Amino acid sequence: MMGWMLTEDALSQLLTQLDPDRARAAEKYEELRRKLMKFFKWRGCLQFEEYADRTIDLVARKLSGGAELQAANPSALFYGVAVNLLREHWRKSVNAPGPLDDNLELENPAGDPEKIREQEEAWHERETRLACLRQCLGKLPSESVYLIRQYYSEGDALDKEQRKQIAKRLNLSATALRSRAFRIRGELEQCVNKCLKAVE
Amino acid sequence: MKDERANEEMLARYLLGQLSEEEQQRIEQRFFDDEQYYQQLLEVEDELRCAYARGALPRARQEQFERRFLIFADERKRVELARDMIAELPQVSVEEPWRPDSRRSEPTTVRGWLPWSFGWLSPARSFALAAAALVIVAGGVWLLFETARLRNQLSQLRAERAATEQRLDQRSAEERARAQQLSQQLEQERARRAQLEQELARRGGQPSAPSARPAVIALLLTPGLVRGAGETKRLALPPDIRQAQLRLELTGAAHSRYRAVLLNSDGSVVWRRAGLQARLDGARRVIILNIPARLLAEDDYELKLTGVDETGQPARADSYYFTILK
Repeated sequence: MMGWMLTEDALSQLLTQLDPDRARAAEKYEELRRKLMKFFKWRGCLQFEEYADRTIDLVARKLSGGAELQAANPSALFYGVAVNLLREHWRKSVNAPGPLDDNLELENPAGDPEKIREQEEAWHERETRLACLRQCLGKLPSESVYLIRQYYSEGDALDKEQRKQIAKRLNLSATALRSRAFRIRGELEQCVNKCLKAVE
Repeated sequence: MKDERANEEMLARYLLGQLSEEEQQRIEQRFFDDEQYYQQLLEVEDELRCAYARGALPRARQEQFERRFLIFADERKRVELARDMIAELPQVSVEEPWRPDSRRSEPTTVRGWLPWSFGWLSPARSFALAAAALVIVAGGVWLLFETARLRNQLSQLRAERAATEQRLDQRSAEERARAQQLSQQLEQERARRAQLEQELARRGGQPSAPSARPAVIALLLTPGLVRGAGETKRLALPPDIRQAQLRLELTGAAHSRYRAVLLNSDGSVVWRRAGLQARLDGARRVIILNIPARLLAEDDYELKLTGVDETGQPARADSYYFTILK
């Protein structure tokens, strides 16, 4: 499997089977790739991007060997191959999540110059991120800021009953409120990431 | 509503790794085919992320979230950003939008709140009151139009600003590309200059026919503070060169004698010489070293030159950096 490389012909064949229209096929390809990455990530695979690409390569290889995607359910083949790859991954590696050593809450590493340097870098990174965040919050329409401020209030967990009240006040259903909050947060994240890239 | 909540709970349990393999596959097959379902999963994932960032998850879920998500560096960054956002939101001043169900108190009648009755209102006062009311109404209408105009202007300015930002981004990208191109040209010019210097040194010391190859190749060096600061001279050594002549320009106080030690990139001593004396080369004071070419492999070198006083005590040392290419 490792020896087979995705050729232009194989990729073209894959895209054609996804959709006869090349532009739509490219969109479907990207959507599939995103979902595959999420699948591997949600199943705890650290190399989620690599495994998503390997899934696509394998499917392309099968298609160039004569297989076809089901018209009614084109993603079925991708999912089947992905599950097999995941099982192979579990067989190869210890099936346990990584240690929490380098998670958010670090121990205080007083005295270690390397750790001190890392802390300073992390502090600097956080300051830059905060500056970008404030800039991006300033760009949001005030209705959006109001909505996410209500939705993500700190303190006690904002239970579903409280959220229903907020939704009612804003003339939205609870589902629509959540979707809108998610969309606004997504825009905020994109804005911050763009700002951080510009600063680098 | 109940079904929706049960569904969301199921999705949360999937994301936290609490479902059986069969249940996981059912959810996965569905989200691959159903875009709306996939979006729902993403929203539930984000809810978990923000709840974790707020410290609002129960302990068991907190640990599950850490095990499932915080093993990924990008997820850790997203949680940090969510945490920062939640902390920053209360600081942002924002007007509460008009609520369609808010109550407004309205007077039931005009007479109800007017401080006078028709009994004692004179024609003059009536006229004054009517005029005042007219001014207020006109003013209100003018304010409305003005507000709409300013809003329009604001939208335009925002659009212009967005366009300007886009142009600046483009310009910035072009400038970066140009800077890279100039940097490449500079490197090429430096390499060419190094070649020309070698050629010049060769012509200066070798009275040979143009077609004959020189046995010695020369390089003029100035002292550097640290390796890599500024330009490091490069010397290409053809195979038939017998010696490399290094001309070390001297700065600072003069000494009667000098010691030279040549170190390679590993810090090993490749060559040394003591009892060297400076000489004048035009306006410069230089030390000239002739080093056998066979000792100079392709590498980065540091030449340490130490002045020695009359009593034989070492004075300050200068370092000269160069690279040999073959």
